[in-house]
Amino acid sequence: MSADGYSHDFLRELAGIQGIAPTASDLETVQMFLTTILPALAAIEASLPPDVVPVGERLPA
Amino acid sequence: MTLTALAARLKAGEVSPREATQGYLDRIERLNPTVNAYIHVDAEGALAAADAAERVPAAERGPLWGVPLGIKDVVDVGGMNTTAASEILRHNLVAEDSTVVARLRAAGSIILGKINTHEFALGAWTTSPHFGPARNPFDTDRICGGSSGGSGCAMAADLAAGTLGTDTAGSIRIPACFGGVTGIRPSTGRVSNAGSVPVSATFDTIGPIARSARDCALLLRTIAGADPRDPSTFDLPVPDYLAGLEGGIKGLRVGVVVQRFEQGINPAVAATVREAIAELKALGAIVEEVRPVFTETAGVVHQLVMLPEAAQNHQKWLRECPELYGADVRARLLAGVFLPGTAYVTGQKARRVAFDEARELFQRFDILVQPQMPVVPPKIGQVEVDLGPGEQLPYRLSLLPFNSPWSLIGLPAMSVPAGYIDGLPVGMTIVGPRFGEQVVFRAGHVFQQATDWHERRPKLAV
Repeated sequence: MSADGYSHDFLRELAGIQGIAPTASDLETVQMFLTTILPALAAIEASLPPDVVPVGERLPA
Repeated sequence: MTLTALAARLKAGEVSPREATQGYLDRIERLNPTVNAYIHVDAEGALAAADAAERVPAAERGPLWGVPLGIKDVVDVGGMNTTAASEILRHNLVAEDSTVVARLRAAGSIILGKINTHEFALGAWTTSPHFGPARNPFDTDRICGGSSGGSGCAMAADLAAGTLGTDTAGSIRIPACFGGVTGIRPSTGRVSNAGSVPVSATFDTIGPIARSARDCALLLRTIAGADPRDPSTFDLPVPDYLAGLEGGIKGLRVGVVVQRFEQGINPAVAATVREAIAELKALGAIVEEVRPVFTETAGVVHQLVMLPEAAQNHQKWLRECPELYGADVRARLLAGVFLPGTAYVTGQKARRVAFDEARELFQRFDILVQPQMPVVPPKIGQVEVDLGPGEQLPYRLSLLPFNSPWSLIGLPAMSVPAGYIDGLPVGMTIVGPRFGEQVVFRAGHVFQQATDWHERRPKLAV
C-alpha cells in the first residue's frame, strides 16, 4: 500500500464526497502523512496473525 | 507547597480556604500574563466557593476541603465556557459540571479557572492560535508540551495546588515532564470522561497533574470510579492509593524498556534517566532490561485508530467551518478522514496483539520504566529536535514511541521528574499493569522520597 495514487485532485474529490473542502496546504500535509503511514500500515497488516480478533474501544480489565 | 501539605494546613486551621485561594489568585495575576497557563480565571466564583467552604462544619469537610485547583479547558466546569482553546467553542458556556469536577467539588476543592490546552487537545505544543501559547516557566521561550500544556505550566509556576489534564497520546505525561512535575495517565476506563470534549473514545482519559505522586494519588482517588454518565468506565473498586504508598520497593520487579534508550533519544536525556533507574535499584528494586515488540509500531497503530475517531468527532465542523481551526489541527483531522476504513480494523487487531504481549510482560514485571520524552522542552516554533550530533527528528514524531505504547493498551503511566539538563526538566515514566495505578504511585512516591527533583521550581515561580 502506498500513497502514489493519492493526488491532490483525488484527495479533494474524496473530501468533497464527504462535504469537506480542504485547502491546498491541507492536502500537501495530508499527502505527506499518507506517504509515511500507508507503507507502515501495510507492514503491520502483513505482520498480524491471521486469526487475531480486534479489540473494541473498551479493553478488558 | 504540595497539595497534600496544603490540605493538611487547611485542615489544621493554619490557613483558611479564602487565604489559600487568594494566594493562588495573586500569583496568577502576577505570573499568568507571562506564562499564559490560564485561559479563564474565575476569581469571584473561587472566592465565593472558598467563603462557602469556610461555613462547612468540620465533620463534613472532604479530603480536598479548601484546596484550589485548575481544570484543563476541555473539561466542563458548570458556569464557565469550555473552549478547548478553539475558536469554534470560544463561547461554549456549559451549565453542568463534568463528573470529575463534580467529584472534586464534593471533596471540597475550589475551582480557580480553566487552563490552556492545545486546540481541541490535538497536539503536543499548547500553542493555540486563538488563545496564545502556554510558555514554559523554566524558559519562557520554550513550550510546555501538550496537549495539557497549561496544566504542566500552572503546576511549574505554582498557580494551583493541583490540576486536571487529559491524555489521548501523551497529553498528561508530556507536559508533566516538561514542567518538572508529576502527572499520571490512569488506566483507560478508570476515570469518567463525561462532560469533556472528546478526541478519541478508545484512548481518552482524564487524569491529574500535580507536584508529587502523593498529590496525584489523592486527586485520582477522588475522581476515579464507575460513572453511569460514561459507560466506558469500569465498575471496579478504587483502591486507597494513599494507604498504599508506603512499604518501599525492595524486591519490586522493574523492566527497563531498552529500545527507548537506544534510538530516537538525546544521549544526555538517556543518561539522566539511567541515573534515575539506578536510584530505583539502590532502593531495592530488581532491575532487568526488556524489549517489548509492540512498542516498535505502537505509534503508527495508535494513529490508525485515533485519527479516524477524532475526524468523526469533528466531521460537522470540518464541513461547516474548517477555516476556524488552526492549520495543524485541521490537517491532523483531515488525515483521519483520508485513512482507509480497513486501517481502523487493522489498528484494533494490532491493539489485541499488543495487549496480549503486555499482559505477559506484567507476569514478569511489576512496573516498566523508560524516559518520558527523548528531549528537553523545545523552543516555541521549533519543528525539529536535536537527538545528538547530526541527528534531528520532527518533534511530533519524536514523542510517539515514548507515549503511544501505553495509551494504546490503556495502561497507567506516570511521569515523574528525574533530573535536569541545563536547567530544563527530564522525566521518567513508570508504567503499571492495567488498573495497577497503586504500584505506579508507590514506585513514584518511593523515588520522590529519595530524590528532590520534584521539589525544584523555576526561578520565575520562586
